[in-house]
Amino acid sequence: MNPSTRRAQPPSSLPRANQGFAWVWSLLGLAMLAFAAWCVKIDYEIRRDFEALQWELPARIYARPLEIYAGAHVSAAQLTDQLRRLGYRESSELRNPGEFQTSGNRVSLWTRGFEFWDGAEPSLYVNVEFDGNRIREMWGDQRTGMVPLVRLEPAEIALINPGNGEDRVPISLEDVPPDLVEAIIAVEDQRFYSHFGVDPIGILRALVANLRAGEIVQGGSTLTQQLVKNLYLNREQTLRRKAEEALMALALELHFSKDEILTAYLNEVFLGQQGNRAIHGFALAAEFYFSRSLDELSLDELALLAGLPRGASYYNPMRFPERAVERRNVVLARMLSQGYISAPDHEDARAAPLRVNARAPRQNAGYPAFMELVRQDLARDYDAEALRTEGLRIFTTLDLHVQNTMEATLEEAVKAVERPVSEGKLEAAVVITDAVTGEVRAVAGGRQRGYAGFNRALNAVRPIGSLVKPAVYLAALESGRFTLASVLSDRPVTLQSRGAPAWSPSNYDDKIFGDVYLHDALERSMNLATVDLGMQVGLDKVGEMLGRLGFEREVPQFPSVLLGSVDMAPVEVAQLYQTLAGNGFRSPLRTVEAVTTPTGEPLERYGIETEQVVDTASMYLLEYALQGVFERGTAQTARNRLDASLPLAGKTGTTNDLRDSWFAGYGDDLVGVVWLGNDDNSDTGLTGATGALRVWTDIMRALDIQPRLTIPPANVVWQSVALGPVRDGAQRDCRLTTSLPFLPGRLPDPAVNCEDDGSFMDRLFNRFGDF
Amino acid sequence: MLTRVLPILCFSLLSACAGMDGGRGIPAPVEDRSGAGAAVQGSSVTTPAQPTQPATPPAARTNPARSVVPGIDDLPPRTVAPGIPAPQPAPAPLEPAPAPMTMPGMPATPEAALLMEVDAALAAGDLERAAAVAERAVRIAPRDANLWYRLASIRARQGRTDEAAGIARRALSFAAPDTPVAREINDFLGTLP
Repeated sequence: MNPSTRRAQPPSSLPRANQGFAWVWSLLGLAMLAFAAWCVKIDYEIRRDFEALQWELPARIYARPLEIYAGAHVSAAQLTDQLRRLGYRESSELRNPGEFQTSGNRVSLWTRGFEFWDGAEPSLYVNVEFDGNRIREMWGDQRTGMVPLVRLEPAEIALINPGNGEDRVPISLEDVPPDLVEAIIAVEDQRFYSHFGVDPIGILRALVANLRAGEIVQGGSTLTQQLVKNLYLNREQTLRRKAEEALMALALELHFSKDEILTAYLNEVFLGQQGNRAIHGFALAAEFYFSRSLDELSLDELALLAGLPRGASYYNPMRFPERAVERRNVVLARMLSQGYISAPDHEDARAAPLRVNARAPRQNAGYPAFMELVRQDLARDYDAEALRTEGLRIFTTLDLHVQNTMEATLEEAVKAVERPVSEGKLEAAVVITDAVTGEVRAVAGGRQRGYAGFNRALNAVRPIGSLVKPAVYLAALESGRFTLASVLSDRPVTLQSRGAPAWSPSNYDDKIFGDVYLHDALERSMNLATVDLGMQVGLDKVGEMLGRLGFEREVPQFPSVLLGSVDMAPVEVAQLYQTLAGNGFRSPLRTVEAVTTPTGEPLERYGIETEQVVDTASMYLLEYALQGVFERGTAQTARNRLDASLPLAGKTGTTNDLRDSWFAGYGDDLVGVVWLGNDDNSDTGLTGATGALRVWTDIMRALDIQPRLTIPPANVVWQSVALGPVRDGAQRDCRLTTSLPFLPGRLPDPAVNCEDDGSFMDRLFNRFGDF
Repeated sequence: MLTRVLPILCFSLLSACAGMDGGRGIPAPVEDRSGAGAAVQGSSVTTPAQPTQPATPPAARTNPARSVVPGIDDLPPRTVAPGIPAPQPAPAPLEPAPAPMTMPGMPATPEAALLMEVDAALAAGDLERAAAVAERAVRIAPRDANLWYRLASIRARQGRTDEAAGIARRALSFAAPDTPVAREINDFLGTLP
């Protein structure tokens, strides 16, 4: 646009009489007074507003940072994936932060450093040597020597945008590369440091240039005027607005330093658009166009950014690369002619190819299911307004490797189990948590990658079937009245309870196993034996156990609860199994680890909490059976595919008419819950073992889940019991035995105990004496 | 009589084993007590197909499931003896990549490095930062009783005694019984209100 080339005419009046003159003069005086008052008002407002200048900043959500150290369970591919995602450049020579190089088993990188809630992570040069899926060793350079531990900066996974859609990363002037400042001054306002807000010389020069060219090729607006216009004025091009702009610019210059004005400009200016998100300021533009930080950009890249304020859409380098390069070269030429750069630098930069992102990095499209959980967690402490405007940095527990691997596996895995083949109707939900801390590592709300609709992980509240059984058996083992070798009756029963019809449960496939050991009944998921056990233990005890394991809603007191007619969302199931994986220590599932201000000052931290809800000895006995599920029970079919990761613990779950197929299981590092089912609650044709277990296995194999290394509590003793469960000691057959863990004072029943009753030879002859 | 019994015994043994393999599908926990008998070993009968297992616990070994209860030597090779430089890496092609070297005072393991940071935060009076760093260490070595205990003691200093107790009990669950650290944690738990 062309600045004020017209002048306001002074009010003309006809000299008629002295009185008339006096009248005119007083009118003039009044007008001047009004003008002065207007000036004072503008001056006051500018001072007030600019001093309090504060942008509405979106909250930034980060994934968990990758920790690199010798022994870490991280592969070279995993590290380089992460580096690429963070915008690191692969380079043959490491010269700057944000670059890496690979050779054989080694990745060398120069980290950027980051302001975490627990302190600053420095920018470091490190070499990382891999040995398969683990880091073997890590070292730095002469200066740093051995590097025990490096934390990469966290990847941004989402924004919570302010209502106006503006996004920016505020930056202070000392962090802006001088080349960028010079480029902007050269092309937008070359007398910036000498004018006083408006630049008459600049206006004249622009006028001449525009007249010569016959079109508008230069603007005469100073940076100050542009800033004022963007901050406080609307877009209309009226004379009054022009005057206002000039006055405000003058007032701004009067009260604030050049550096303050320049900083505000660098942060305010509009530089791009992505959907309804407006990219403001150069720091964010660097991330947006190059996935790099401003101080990592080269001269040509800075010049490209400096050319954008003139028309961010017109010169958009992603859409119009030729225009953008042309504009960049104009900027470079100005820098050369004004002596900011040397001729060789100019030549190099001019010749540099355009290296912008092909597409803008995804925003908010990434992990909607996880983000819903984050929003739930944040809503406890932050209102929506704070999240949209205060620029909070939110550090979450999402593990990008786990999430991406799970998503990459899930769709194919679901397709592979679906019956009839790949109708696309079968839906899925997955929750993966850290087995120790309860931190949520990955969530899928549907089978489709990045699915943003109905979030089944949180909202598909379904009967959990046999997934409830560990609570039944744990309550039994904890009571002290039962051992792994207690003999249960797996025979048909009919139960009558108040206010409910008579209930006659049956086993899957209507098998009847008769007398069975307790551990066997859990491993092979026998319904009738479980009902037998649960009724002896008491429904109240089972409900109470579910509560202790972390289920927060009321458990109905019907016998059918023993077989899982209690509805839970996958994330609720994950909490139960998290407590089992924690050896009886419950740690609430968490998605948010810390919240800081935009500059990194800690506001809130959500630390590891853990509370013992079951004694470790009872837990150990239960886990023997849950490992038995893989060793001998319903998850045996997964053994081959999981071989390297065994032993693992878990449980299959199937509901009536095969409506839900569940598997929940854990290793030393991860807990995973998989649910499969149809949204219309129809028959899936899948049991827990033929559906969810296979999906779980595919995911956990891809994640290289770590074997359980549960340390036996000191008081556990191993004793032999007869292989065949009997209730009468006279029928005991100790020729074949099985060794099971027991607790002192809760040893096997004499009817099955083959441990210490007389010498071996005595028994041998007793048995064969008749021959 | 012994000569009459032995063949029957051996036969029943073998058939039982064979039956287990195909039959009920729970092969793992079978433990053949009589196989340990010296009588069988002494005779000229071929040894049973089923490998025998020791009848008395070492608990770690009698458990039928493969390494369900690992001895300490079964732990995976998590770290290659941190601090001791592993085989010299090949020279980097371009960048001078110096061989690993240990500097005096430089912690060799990530846990040790983080514990130094915990100390620094405590010295600066920043308890929450100390807790955050201790948790970072716990995530790296989640079965290290000392790290959990460290976190518990920080929580206690913050006056968050409920949390401290839970975390200390967790620490205790990872400590071998009757070790100094277990005793210390027990004492610590005793001091909590």
